Amino acid sequence: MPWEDVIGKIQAVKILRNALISHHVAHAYLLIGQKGVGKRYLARVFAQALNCEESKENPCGQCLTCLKILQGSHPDVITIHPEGKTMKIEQVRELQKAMGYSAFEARQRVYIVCEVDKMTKEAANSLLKVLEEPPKDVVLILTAVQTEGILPTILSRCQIVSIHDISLEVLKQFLQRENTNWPPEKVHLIASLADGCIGKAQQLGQNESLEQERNAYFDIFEKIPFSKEASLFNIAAQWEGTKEGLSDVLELLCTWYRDIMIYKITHNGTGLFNSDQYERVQKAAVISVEQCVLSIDTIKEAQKKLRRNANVQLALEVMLIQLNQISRR
Amino acid sequence: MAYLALYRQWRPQCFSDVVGQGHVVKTLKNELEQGRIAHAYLFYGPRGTGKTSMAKILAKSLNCIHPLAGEPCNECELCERITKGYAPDVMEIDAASNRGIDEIRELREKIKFAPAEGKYKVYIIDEVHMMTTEAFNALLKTLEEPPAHVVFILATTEPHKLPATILSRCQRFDFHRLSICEMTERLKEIVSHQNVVIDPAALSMIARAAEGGMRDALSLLDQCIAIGEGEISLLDVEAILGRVSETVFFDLLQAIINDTPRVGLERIQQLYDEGKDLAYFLQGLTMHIRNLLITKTCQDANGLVEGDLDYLEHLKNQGDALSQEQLLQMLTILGQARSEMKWTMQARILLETTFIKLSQILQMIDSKVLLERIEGLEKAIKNRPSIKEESNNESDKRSVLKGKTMSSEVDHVNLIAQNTKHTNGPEVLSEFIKPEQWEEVLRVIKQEHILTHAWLVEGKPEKLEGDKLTIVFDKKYTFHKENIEKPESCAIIEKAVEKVLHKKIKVHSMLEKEENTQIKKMDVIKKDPLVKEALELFGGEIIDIRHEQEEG
Repeated sequence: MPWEDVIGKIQAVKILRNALISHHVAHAYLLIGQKGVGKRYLARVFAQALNCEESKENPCGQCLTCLKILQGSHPDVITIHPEGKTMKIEQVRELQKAMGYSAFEARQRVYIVCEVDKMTKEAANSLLKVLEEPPKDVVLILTAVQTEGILPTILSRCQIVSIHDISLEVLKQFLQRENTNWPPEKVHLIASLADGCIGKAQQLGQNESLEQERNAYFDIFEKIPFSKEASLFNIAAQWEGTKEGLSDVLELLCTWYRDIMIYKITHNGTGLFNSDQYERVQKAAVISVEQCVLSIDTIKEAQKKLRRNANVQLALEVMLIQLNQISRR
Repeated sequence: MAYLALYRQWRPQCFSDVVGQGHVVKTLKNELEQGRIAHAYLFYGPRGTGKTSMAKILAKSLNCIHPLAGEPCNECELCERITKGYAPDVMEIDAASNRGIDEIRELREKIKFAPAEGKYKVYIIDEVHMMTTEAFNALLKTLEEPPAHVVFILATTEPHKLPATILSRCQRFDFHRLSICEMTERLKEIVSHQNVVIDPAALSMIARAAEGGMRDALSLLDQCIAIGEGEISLLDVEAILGRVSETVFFDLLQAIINDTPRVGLERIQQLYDEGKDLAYFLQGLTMHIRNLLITKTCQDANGLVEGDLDYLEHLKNQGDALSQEQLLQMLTILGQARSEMKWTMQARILLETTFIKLSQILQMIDSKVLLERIEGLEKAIKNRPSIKEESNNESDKRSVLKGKTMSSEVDHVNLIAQNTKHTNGPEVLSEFIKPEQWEEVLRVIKQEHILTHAWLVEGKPEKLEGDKLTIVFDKKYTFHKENIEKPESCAIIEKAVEKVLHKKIKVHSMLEKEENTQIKKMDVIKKDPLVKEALELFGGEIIDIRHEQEEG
């Protein structure tokens, strides 16, 4: 049953299911939750529930309609993504036009508009009227990572459903169920690394050489405070080559300093992200909490620069040298 | 029949239904009654305050067959059609989608035709701020002098984006945010038709969360009704809003005050495990500190801070442990964190580092304390005997050489010698006039003789040796220097200095380069055998050269 397949998100599921049961389905929903948490999946399940041939509240997940919706091939359940970096006004105009026609086969047409926070101003404004009073058989489901950056006029027209991060325990259960052959340590590691995101957990789980890669990175992290400039430049050059992986490396580096900080305060290994690196963290915990905070800020600064298309090599070099200096203070 | 969202079901249909906005309703009704209808209106204000609804009501009143004291009857054919959106004479244009010049040209083409059934053709142009500049300009002429049967109603949330030429052609109506009171009243009325029971506290929470927008409030209420199963409690609303209860904030701040970061971090972990929205949480924490700040600074925080007396008392107690400055610093840090929250992928790490930073504030020395310490130091310095006096005492012990006892044929000089170890230059012996003292002197002179003041301002008191006050002028102020040298100016300055410093002095002024000649003199004197011998004997240093007649 699709509803039961939705992991976590108890609150969101409750809101949507209750709306179905009490016939209070609004014409516009906005699902807010971090990337990879499963917003689109939830939206599709809701679309199934609205259209399932078998049942009116609990979609069967088996009938043709349900299958079509899940695969994204249903003619009346349409998903729109930003084209390129932003969603343009043309896309919204097309959507308005499509809404003007009647349904092919659905009881309720569902339009899933993804990443509304990436709409241009023009696109967002042109969505307003149709978002307020769409045709009778239309339900709009918008998704976004956060409400920041979305017009207040859009927010006030939608029922906002926030999808919380999936808690560690639930995620662990899910992973264990899906991958019965995994040892519990691996399940724990991946669940805590995924940081509440089911998409991230699945991605991590597929990586065979995860452990080796991680160890290689932590070897480098450990050495940053003791390295000479020349070897710092080498590290920067090496990381620069990873390109897409770079943001992951920096996030990992962030968790490294964060773990040291947490260890300094709690003196045990329970709250660590990188639970497999407990010994390294213990060894590295010679720096003070203040130094950890400064280091994290430095990494954040570098991330910010990279997002703004700064010179990658320079940004990395500056960050590494600063990290090195901070730990020597 | 599909369910219609509450905010669409409960759209106000006549002026008396509109919540708040009394000032707009009154003006419009009077205009309708007196027949002084403008040809262009602009409705602006925040979202959910009733702009579009008001526009539709106005359109109905204009065309209604049996209007009652300005109100539409909502019964006649025309009213009904307008409500349903079928009326051919009421054009609702979405300016955000139809924002180009072509759409405006089309509008101008059709505008001259007479209304099909009613008295007026009403153009409601919604989201008008999104029109392009060309479109705006193309509209100007029509907007100024439309045919007699046309009324324009523009509605927008962002009037500052409209060109001034559009603004000046419209009658403007500013829609205000609804007060919490007005909103709860309306919500109550709507709830009574919905077959649900709702906790008054939950209702006021909805009203507060809506921040002045009726539509926001109704969207929320809709959601609560959907989830609450006939009964809505405060908890339901909190859950939907993702709000964290107040105790968490108190706990966190207490952890900061007690310097037990571990407790705080565990609390954050707990929140995270519960799946709370961390961005909301950060916002709540900011609000909590804001409340602490307000209860701390205001005698009576009632009205400024929402909450019962217990809560206020609790806030006050916690606020006592923190200084106003610390709270302000906390708000700054939280402000930064909130802006970073917008893009960070690692919200939890951000929250944790922010918490640590907040804890560190308390360990930093308060700048107030720092200031007090500096003040203390300053006082201590003031109370110490001045350098001149001190060095005089010292030089007494070491016997001072004065020029009268040792004279040379070349030049009669005064030698003020001192142990080399102690001297760093001529400044040590001469006394400085403190800037504030000099300012006082200038002030006195200004009252006495403003011209002298004007000349003197350009100079700066270089040193005070014995009774000789040297004032140095820059080379370009030769004129000033010459004027200061006049006996009458000198007298004024000397008098003023005496008044301020209680010291009789003589004014000596020089240009900056004159100092160089002094150095030359010094070189000549150094070569004098008698002086040489004296230097060898006493191991001193030549500091100043004074002619005997000056001395006398």
